[in-house]
Formats: sequence, C-alpha cells, structure tokens
Amino acid sequence: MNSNRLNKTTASYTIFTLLWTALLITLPINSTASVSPPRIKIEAKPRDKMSFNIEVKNKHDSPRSYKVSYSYYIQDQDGYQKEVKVESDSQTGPWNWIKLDSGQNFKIASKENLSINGILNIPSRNSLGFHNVLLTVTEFTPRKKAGVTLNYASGSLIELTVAGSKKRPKTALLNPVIKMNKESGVNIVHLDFDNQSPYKGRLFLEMHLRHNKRLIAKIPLLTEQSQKSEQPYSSIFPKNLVKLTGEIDKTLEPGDYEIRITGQFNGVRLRTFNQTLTIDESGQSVIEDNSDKPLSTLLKPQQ
Amino acid sequence: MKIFNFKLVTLTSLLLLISPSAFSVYGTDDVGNDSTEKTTTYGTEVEVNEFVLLDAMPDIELYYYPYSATDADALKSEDVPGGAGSVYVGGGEIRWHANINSTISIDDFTLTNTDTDVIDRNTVAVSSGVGIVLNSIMSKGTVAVAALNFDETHGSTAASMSADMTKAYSDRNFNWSSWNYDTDAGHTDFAVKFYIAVTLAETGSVQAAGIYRANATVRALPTVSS
Repeated sequence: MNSNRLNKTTASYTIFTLLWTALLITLPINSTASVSPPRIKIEAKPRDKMSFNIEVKNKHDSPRSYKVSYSYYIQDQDGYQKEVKVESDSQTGPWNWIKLDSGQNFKIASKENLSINGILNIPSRNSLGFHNVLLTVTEFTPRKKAGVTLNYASGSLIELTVAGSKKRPKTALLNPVIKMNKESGVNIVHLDFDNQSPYKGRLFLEMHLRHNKRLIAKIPLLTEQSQKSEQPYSSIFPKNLVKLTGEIDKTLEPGDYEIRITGQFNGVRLRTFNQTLTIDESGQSVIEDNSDKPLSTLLKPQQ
Repeated sequence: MKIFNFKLVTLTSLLLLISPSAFSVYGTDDVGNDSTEKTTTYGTEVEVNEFVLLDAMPDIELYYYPYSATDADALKSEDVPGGAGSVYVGGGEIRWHANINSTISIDDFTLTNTDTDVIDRNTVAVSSGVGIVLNSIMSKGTVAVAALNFDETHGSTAASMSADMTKAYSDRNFNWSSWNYDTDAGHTDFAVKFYIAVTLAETGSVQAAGIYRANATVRALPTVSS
C-alpha cells in the first residue's frame, strides 16, 4: 500500500512538475484590434432593409480562421450591463434579422482585410424599440504543441432603434423611501424607476426635499452604475426597472417632509411628482397610504 | 540711413503680417490632434467611429501552488504536485485602448490531453475547477498602464509565492471572468490584472501522464452607449 502510494506520488510529482511548469508556459502573443467599427447605430422602421459594413483585419504573417458569434446586453437593477451569449440556433432575437455575406466562419490571408457586408431585415411585427446585438469575431490562433493558446476576440455592437408612431414613453416611479445608514448616519433616498417603453433612454431625475415649506436639499437620483461612472444621468434599458438612490447631506429630524421629484426621460419632461414622507425616530421614512393614487400615474410624462 | 532702415523693417513686418498663410502651412504640433469627424451614417443617425483596441495579449505561466493538494502534508514535505485537489496558479495583465466603455472577458477555458489514447487522464474539478478573476481596479493612462505588473514570483513554499499568486489561489473558486469598465472618460490607455487558478479533481484518475493543452479566449468588446 505504502509502496503504491510512494510510486504514485513519485510519478505524479515527475509528471506534473514537467507538465505544468514546462508545458503550460504561454508564449506572448501580440494582437491588435481587428474589427471595426466597434459600434454601429442604426435607426430604421419596420420592414426596412438596412445594410451595414464591418471590416476585419488579419495583421499576422500567416492566414487566420475567424468565427462570428452573437450575444446581447441586458441591464441589471443597478444599471450595469451584462452580456448574454446566444448559445443555440433555436434562440430567437434580432440576431436572426442579420445576414452576413461572409457566413459565420471564414478565413483571411495574412495582412489582408475582409470587408463584410451585412443586411438587417427589420420585420413588420414585434420589432419596435431599441435592440442591441453584439457581433463577436473570434480570431483563432494556431494551436501550439503545448502550453496555453490564447485566442483573441473583438466585435461590433449594433445598436438598433426601430421607430414607430410617436408615443410618449410610459414610465413609473415606485417605492420612494428614505433610509438611514446606521453606521454613517447618512440618510439615503431610494426609488425604483420602471421604463415600460421599448426604448432605451437617459433619465435625469432630481428630488427636492422640503420641511415646513423650506427647501432642505436638492438630490440627484442615479443608478449605482451612473454614480460610479460619475454621470449626471442614468441610462435605462427598454422594459427595465432600475433602482435609484441619492444621498441627503443634511441631518433629518423626525417630522413630515415634502418630496418633489422632477426630471426627464428620453428627452421628454416627466410630470412633477409630490409626496409627503414622515421621518420617524429611527431616521426612516413612513410612507402615507397612497393606494388610491398609484404612483405610476403620477409620473406620466407631461402631456 | 536710419529712416531707410526703419522703412525696411516696417515693410518687412507688414508683409509678414498680411501673409499668415506662410505660417499656417506648418502646424504647431508634430502630430496634430485627430479631431476630424469620422462618421458612418445608417438610417438617420450619425455615429462617430470609436474604438476598442487590444494591443497586447497576456503571458500566462501556471505554477503549482505549494501545499494545496488534499493529501499533502507540509510538515513532512509530502506535498504532491499534480495530485487530487492540486491547484496551479498564474496570471498577467491585459492592456487595451478605448474611448468608449468596454467589456473585457476571458472565456472558454479548456484543458485537454493531446494523446487521445490515454484513458486515465487528468481532470479539472467540475465545480469551480477554473477560477478566473479580472481585477475590478483598472490602471489608466500610459504611465500607470506601463507600470502595471503581475508578480509571478513563486517558490517551493506558500510563503515564497507573491501576493498576486496568492490572490489567484485565494480566488480559485470565483468566476469573475467578465467585467465592464468605464473607459470613456479622459483616458485611452487601460490595463487590468487577471488571475487564473486551475484546480484538479478531488477524485478519479488524476495522475495520467501526457501533454496537456489549455485554451482561452480573451475578448475586448464595446458596451451599449449611454
């Protein structure tokens, strides 16, 4: 038993010392961007046939193989974008509207460029709104006999807006509440913004906080992503609900406070929203019952 | 004579003043700012061509992290590199240029034995067998980007591994292989460190001899404009 273990140990030590330290050594690879442009913005109408062009360059001294794959971005509640890969042909989406004259797989000779012509066939139904399709081109590096082979991929992002009849975006403001961070003692206002429209847009939102009709603070309301990016607005994906926060840099004594929220979404001014919040001893807000007056109706765009 | 000289200087100055084109032929910068509009129009919207450019692929070396094997006994020097549960760590830097927000990701890591006849082969743990972590902290600007360095220092003891190698080991169960970076604000040169840890399976035949190959895809992609 001990002999077996010793043999096993000795063998494995020899094998893997050789394998991993000697074989898994990567050779440096110098690559440069090979796909342009990185973003393509297209505005179209249902039934339009739009053409676009992508340039792929092989900057190496030998021919390379390439593969096109599709993915798209969604947005989480904090405003961050997450890529979702299209894993199977059965998945349907705007990528099905795209036809490339190169096909999904192609080769490019050394130091050559390939100009890929694409056609986007916008269907007449279920196409209104904003869509994004990430067209990734993976360049395959010839496999080394051993070691780590690194492939390189870049791509073009198609941002498609299919416009229909001019309708104002439907949005809703939900769950306004003021909470206190017990550690820092800072009051933070929390809100949900629901973009019910099929379009992406920029949201500028500001809350005015008043106590006994005296203005206490003006607080910009932003997603976590926008705050980190130091943007003055939040970018909201279609049919998405995001969480907005704003820090109140004043100490709030218990009592009634009036909040007034103004702003605009996608270039359209939103109807001003007013509500009274009661701050209790713990620094949290108690929301008055507003069930007969849904908040969503209060934040309809200005007519 | 003095009047002649005065007239000559005045005339020369006037000639120079009224002929600015003589100077404007030559710019003041050796390499002028490329602020010309580079537009492509599709439909009704105009888009300025922006770029995401990945100009240097990372070097990776993976090293056995001492005393990580399940059956290793460090006190008796019985560490078993390559045994069940062993961990190999490494990493590097990804450098890229962008003037739009970008996503960096490391995808499709595979490990295969080149000899298809080998039945008993090494296997990577099914759950969290490959930990890939992109650092959320990004270096900006040419100086910081050039200075960023993954420390590959390693040795025969855990204490002799660098902080970067130890971080790769500590993050071996995480998959943070895709990250969005704010790269549209003021700089065009960026770099981040990445960490890879490969954990061998705890059970099964894990000591097969042979040559192994690893594959991964590093991607630099634009994100949706805000």
